[in-house]
Amino acid sequence: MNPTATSIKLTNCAKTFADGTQALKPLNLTVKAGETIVLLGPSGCGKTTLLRIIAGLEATDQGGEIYFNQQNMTSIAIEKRNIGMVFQSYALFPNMSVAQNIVYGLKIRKLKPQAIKRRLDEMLEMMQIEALAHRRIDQLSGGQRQRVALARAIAVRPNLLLLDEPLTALDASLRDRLRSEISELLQKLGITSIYVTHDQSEAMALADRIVVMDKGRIVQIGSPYDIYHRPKNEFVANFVGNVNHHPNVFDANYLTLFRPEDVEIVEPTKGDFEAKIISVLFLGDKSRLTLDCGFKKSIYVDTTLRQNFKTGMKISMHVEAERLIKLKTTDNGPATVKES
Amino acid sequence: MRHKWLFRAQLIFTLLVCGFLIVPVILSALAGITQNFFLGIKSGVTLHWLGEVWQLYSGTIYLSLLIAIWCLIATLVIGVPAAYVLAKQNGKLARFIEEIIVLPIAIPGLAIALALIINYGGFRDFRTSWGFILVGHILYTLPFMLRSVLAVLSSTNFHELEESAASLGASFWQRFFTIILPNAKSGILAGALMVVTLSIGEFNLTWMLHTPETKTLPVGLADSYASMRLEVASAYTLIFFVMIIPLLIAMQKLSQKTNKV
Repeated sequence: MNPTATSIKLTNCAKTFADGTQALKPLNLTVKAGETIVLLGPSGCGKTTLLRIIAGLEATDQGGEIYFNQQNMTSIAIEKRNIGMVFQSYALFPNMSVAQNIVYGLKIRKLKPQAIKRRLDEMLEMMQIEALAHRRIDQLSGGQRQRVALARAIAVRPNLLLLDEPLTALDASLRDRLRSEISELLQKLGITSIYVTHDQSEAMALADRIVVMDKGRIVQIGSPYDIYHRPKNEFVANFVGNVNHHPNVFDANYLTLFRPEDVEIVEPTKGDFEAKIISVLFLGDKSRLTLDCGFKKSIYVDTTLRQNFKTGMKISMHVEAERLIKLKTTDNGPATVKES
Repeated sequence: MRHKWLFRAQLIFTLLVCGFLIVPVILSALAGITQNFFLGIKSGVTLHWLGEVWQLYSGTIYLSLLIAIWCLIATLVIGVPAAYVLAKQNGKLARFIEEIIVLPIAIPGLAIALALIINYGGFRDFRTSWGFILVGHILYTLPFMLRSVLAVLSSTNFHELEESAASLGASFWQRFFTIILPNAKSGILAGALMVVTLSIGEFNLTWMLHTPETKTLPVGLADSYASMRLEVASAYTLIFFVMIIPLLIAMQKLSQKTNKV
């Protein structure tokens, strides 16, 4: 871990906009030094607002406080917070070359020319963009812009790295590659990072802990493993992956769910329940079956069995007891329960 | 074959229209360097008339340049920050203020001049100084600077650029000078050329606002048309062309360049 890494503490932070909409309900959040936190949620859940409050681009409502280490930063302007930020649109300066973009923060900090040069070379090498140093920004591809934006944010040795949906503007294959590069980079730097995304696979791949948000609230905080396998309510279970309602376990106090990949297809009549295949989506490494079991909602099953499933076939299925996700219905609120 | 005929007909028409517009300009320019216009160019070519214009009207040329430069400075100092603030604000008030600033484009110059005279004509020293004309020119040219800078600012995502500069530690003034101004450069330059060109050529307002001591080039031009030999007036026009055409060409070049980007 980076010895200079900063811990973050938010207490009672909320955001009400001028038009009266409350984008963020009062919330507390602690980020350990060197940790990578992903704020995950659907659009409008308040994740970007939370990030902007931490950055200092938005002020928290009266009563909220922000600490970097033990220092109260609540009323400190963004330019004095020593952060690095990567924007969704990269926000690279079009009037400057790649190199000038990267050293912008260093020049503002009035570093000596040799120190600036050294750091620039370091950054160019780290991001593998040596060849682009003298290019103009409009001569770069999306992926290259992303690298420059990262280099620029990291060059100033920030206390905290903030990333606002940095991969959203890229195409899928590039996104996958950059995702693992960013993951490696964050590991290597050991810098405290907060990453905003609506993409659960991005969150899983990058996070030490995921903060799932919905409607301006934090719904659950936990490791990717916990969030996926021990979701706190149906919203989280649904948001981080697909989930089925168990067709023949009924309990007024519990909602019983399971994930498509946790279903075993067994000999006819030997399973817990049977259902008819409505559609088959063959994905190569697995097949995704949509099944009708006489229940309102369809059931989805992912299977790696090498069997040529056909629409109309009836199959018998079994889910191991420890694979079931049991949720207290009170945690879901009455509406969610009735819906199923 | 019909194509060919159509093309020829269009070419001839275009050339005729161009000729219609350009011939008077050429004649006027020629008149300025002809000994005697009524005898034609065969009477000889001379710089005599240009010299005479210089003697009689050099003051108006200097004054026009002086006013244009001050007008440019004023519209830069007022217009660029105003455009920045207006681009940053999305509220109704901001749009209302923008409309007010742009209003002088829609109001006849004479009306603006009259309003200025009615309101400020009583301040004798001000009324008789060229500062009075300058104020009119600023009112008239400010919208062009404002619009031009606003257009560039709203086409670049400068709000996010500023936020990212702030995240890198830049204070407001550092952001303004290293990010906002350089990225608004094309708009500022286009606006500046427009302001100088309009100020040098402005007649409506200036004719109302000037005094015998504060004549600008276009006012002097009108004066020479009314009271001088045609050759003098034409030589005067020639000088005006020499001043204004490079500005127009620069403006054209600039807009071509920005269109390409």
